[in-house]
Amino acid sequence: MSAGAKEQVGRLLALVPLIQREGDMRLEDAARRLGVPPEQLVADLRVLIYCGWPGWMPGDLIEVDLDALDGDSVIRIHNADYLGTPLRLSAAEASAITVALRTLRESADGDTLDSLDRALAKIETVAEDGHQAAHVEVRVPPGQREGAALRTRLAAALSSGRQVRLTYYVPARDENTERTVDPMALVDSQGMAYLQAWCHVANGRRLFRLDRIVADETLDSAAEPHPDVEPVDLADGLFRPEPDNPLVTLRLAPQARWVAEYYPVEAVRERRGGKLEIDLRVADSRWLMRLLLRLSPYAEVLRPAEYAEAFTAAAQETLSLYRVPGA
Amino acid sequence: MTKSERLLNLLILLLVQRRPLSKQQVRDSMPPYLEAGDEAFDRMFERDKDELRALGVPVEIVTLDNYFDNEIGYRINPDTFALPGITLAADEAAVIGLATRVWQHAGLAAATSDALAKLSAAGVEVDRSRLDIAAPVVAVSDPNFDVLWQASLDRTRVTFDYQRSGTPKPAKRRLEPWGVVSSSGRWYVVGRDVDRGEPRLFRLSRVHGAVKRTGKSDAFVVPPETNLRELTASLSPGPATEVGTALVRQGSGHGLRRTATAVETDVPGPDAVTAWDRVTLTHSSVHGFVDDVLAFGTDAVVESPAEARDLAVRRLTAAAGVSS
Repeated sequence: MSAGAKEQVGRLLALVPLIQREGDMRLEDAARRLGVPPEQLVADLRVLIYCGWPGWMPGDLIEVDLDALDGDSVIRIHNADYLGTPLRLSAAEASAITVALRTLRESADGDTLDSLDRALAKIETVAEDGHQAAHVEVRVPPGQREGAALRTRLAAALSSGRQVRLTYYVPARDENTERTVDPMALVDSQGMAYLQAWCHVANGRRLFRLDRIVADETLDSAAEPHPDVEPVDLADGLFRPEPDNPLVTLRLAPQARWVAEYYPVEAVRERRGGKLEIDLRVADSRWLMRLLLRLSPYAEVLRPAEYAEAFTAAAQETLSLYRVPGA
Repeated sequence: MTKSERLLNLLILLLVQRRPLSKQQVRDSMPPYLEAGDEAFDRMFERDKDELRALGVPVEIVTLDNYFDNEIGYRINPDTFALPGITLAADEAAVIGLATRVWQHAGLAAATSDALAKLSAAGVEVDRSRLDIAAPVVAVSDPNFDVLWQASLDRTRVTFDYQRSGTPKPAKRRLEPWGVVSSSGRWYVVGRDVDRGEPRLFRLSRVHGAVKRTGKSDAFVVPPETNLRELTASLSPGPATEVGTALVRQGSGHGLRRTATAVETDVPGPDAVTAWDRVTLTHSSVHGFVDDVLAFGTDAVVESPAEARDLAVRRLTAAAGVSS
């Protein structure tokens, strides 16, 4: 039985100093302080009685009062003075906690931000002790702090089971839409935060990007339960092109190659001069026109012909607005 | 003696002795090592030391002074073993419990939880139940994250097949990984490219197949001036400090209006189909600004600066000609 031996020793190196510091402690309190289930601590303590000063004669071993543990659920440890302070943080622990706190910091404000800043400075000091650098780092997308208050309001609506009225921006149509939703979950994917909710206008489950929510109001009405609705699986990304949507072939200049990585494409073919040819399913032709205009002139429609013509017409019409004197 | 007992007893042995112990002295002191054959002992002792080090235990190697040869000795220095003293105010201790809710990754979440347990043992009263703040969640779904993070922690070289953007076929890379970083939800590994002899960044989603560890741990040293935070910051676009204006048709261009720093209504526009507004937008590059306005087609026109307007005209002219 060697699985988890390392982890067990790691837990003991926190438990023993805790008891030495605080004195006898109730099992439940120690479990809560360390974030470990009580039964796990009992198993850990049974290892401890076979450990101690080299030689392991009766007086050398760490003493755990098993009567107190089994009878009163109290932890009492003696003869372990050399384990009086907890082990320093490992490189993995140091980077995991400091980066988690820095990430929290990016979306906190007011008093919380102030508390976090002071806590982080102290923890960085003990965490960087003996370590060269963090081994993991997260850069939070800009605008997250602005979205933090919204996120907190939506989380509150979610936990209290209330409906929310949203004003939501739909970029493909360039429209602000009004809808009442039953919040189901807050999810993060690819650095973006989303509200998963049942939309009473669409009469279906929808994902709302938090940075596109223009206004929100938590209503008094209770959210309806939707037990049969499957949660969205974000593993394959959020966009699910439908197989019956028209297939469009684009030729992308090097400046527009990012499109092939950013959107789900059916096929990618390398072409001369660093160009790419891609096939993608298009659910909404207005979305495609916006994308093509944004990319002008680095993307070209190869087929179908009607999209190529529509794009040329849109580019010409837009260009004519720049030819008006005085505009 | 179970493995947990063996590890903890080895730790105590090296911690409480005042002088370093030779490998033979360690073996003589520990029944499970004495009972094992020579080869089995070597393997067991090496693995046990590695596991203690992975926990953060500083097992030091020193040269023993004796008259016969330069034998290697082992010890754990109590000063480097112990967590430095830390005192957190009540409000500071109250917020750090939130750290466990950030990671949506088993290994990182466990490491954070272990760190909090140690701080607790040092006297910090961690509150793990605060729910008044919705913590942002950092998800790690890339299957190669674990092996790269681990390799950066124990400094082991790795190899993988990597497809650079703009190349048709993946190529084999050899890397000394310094760390794994995330920028705007995308994960990258930073390190020294062994074949190119230079620091490089690789996007995890462009790695084909599995990352493999090669050779031993502690195979390289991370340059002391390495700063992962700065490297990560360099992945994101610069701050939006440039200012431009666009004319936007009334009732449209909501996407531009949402990010505008100012909106002036009923200004002269390029046509009389609708009324027009002027929106002021900050941006970090002229190209990005023009991209954002062009996306709105006949509902928006770049007004200033002249450089941006000229660029918009050139790009539209090329687009209108390209496909016709």
